[in-house]
Amino acid sequence: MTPAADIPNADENALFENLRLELRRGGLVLAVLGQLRSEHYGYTLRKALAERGLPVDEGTLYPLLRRLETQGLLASEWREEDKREKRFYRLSLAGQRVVRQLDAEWRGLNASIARILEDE
Amino acid sequence: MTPLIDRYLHNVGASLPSDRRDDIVRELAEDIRAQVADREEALGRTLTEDEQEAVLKHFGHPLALATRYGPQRHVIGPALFPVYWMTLKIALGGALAVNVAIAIAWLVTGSPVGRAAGHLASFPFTIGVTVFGWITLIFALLDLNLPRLLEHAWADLKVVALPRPEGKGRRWTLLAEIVGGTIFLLWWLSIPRSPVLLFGPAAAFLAPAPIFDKLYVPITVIWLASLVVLWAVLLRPDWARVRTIGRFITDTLSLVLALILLRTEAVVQLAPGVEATDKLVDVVRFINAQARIVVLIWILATTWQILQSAYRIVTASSTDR
Repeated sequence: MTPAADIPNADENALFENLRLELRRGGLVLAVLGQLRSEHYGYTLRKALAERGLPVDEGTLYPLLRRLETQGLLASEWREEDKREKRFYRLSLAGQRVVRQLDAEWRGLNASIARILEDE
Repeated sequence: MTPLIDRYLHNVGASLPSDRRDDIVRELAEDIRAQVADREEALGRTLTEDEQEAVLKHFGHPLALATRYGPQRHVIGPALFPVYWMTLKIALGGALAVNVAIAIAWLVTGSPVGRAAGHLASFPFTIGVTVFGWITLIFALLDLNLPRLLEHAWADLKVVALPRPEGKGRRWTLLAEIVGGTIFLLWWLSIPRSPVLLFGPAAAFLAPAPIFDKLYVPITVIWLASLVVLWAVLLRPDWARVRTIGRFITDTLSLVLALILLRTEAVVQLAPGVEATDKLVDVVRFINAQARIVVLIWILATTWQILQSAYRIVTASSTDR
């Protein structure tokens, strides 16, 4: 093994960006599921997430909603609100159970990582 | 909806699966409409085309957005990719080494330079592409069946390859290689003065063919070089990489020699002054035929060793990173 060399700045930034996205990916699923414990349509869901400090691109959110629905974690329906047809999403029963488990997992992981980082 | 937004949605829809197209486009249209309405209300006027474009840019390129709705596809997934990449490098490196050896063999045996250069120049488009294609196809099929294969492998732990610990025997093997190699070198260096060492009693009527004189010095140099590498590793065990690279080079050179020998009509001939009776000519022919078989085995064994060395070089550099 060669000793760890200093990474050039551009590579370090790209590496950080990759790791950041990786870290965010799993968290984003949990955040969306958590937010959908109350019913939302896409636009208000995005606003609610952004207000809580988690802005999400439309190009990420809408395909994610469809994927979670295909997996049976969300249920959706088209309904009229303010004279406009909107697609409303909410957690399915399976989704509610999974969110509870993921919530516990997240809190445990978060506490462990916090302890590890504090030790350093 | 404005023409710009309509065009954007049309382009997204064109790349979506037809059974979900209308539903997805309708949902995206509603989000865009809501965003535009919010901004227009905040500004107290309608949005300019540039401002609408800025809204659409958040959604991303129409094709990129549509692709995200599809299933996540890959030919070779992240689990297999490192092994695939390593195998590809080894196979392409090994194939290149063998083809360079063939080109050098042609040059040494007097083939035109153009033939050797043409052979090497066509490598990426012929052998290179074929190697790439087959390896990719095999790994793609493996990837399809990976979960099942892993389950089988996990059921029988013996088939899971675990790295073998370095034993003390390694040093003794190295010493044995040095001793054997030195004895061979001494024998080899004595042959020009005493051909009996090569042919035994048959030296009375057999002699090496002219190719022997041509290859004598290169074989001696390659053998000396491999002995030097072995000594270096014995004295500096931390130079394992030197051994692997050294072996790769000496094996490639030795493959060149083997290929030259394969192109040679005869490796032995009747000794000068010996009458060419039918029986002796048959004996010489038989020995040359046997020698060709030995050379073929030598080529196969050396090619295998080159691939092994290439594998070690690649895995060592992966570990270093």
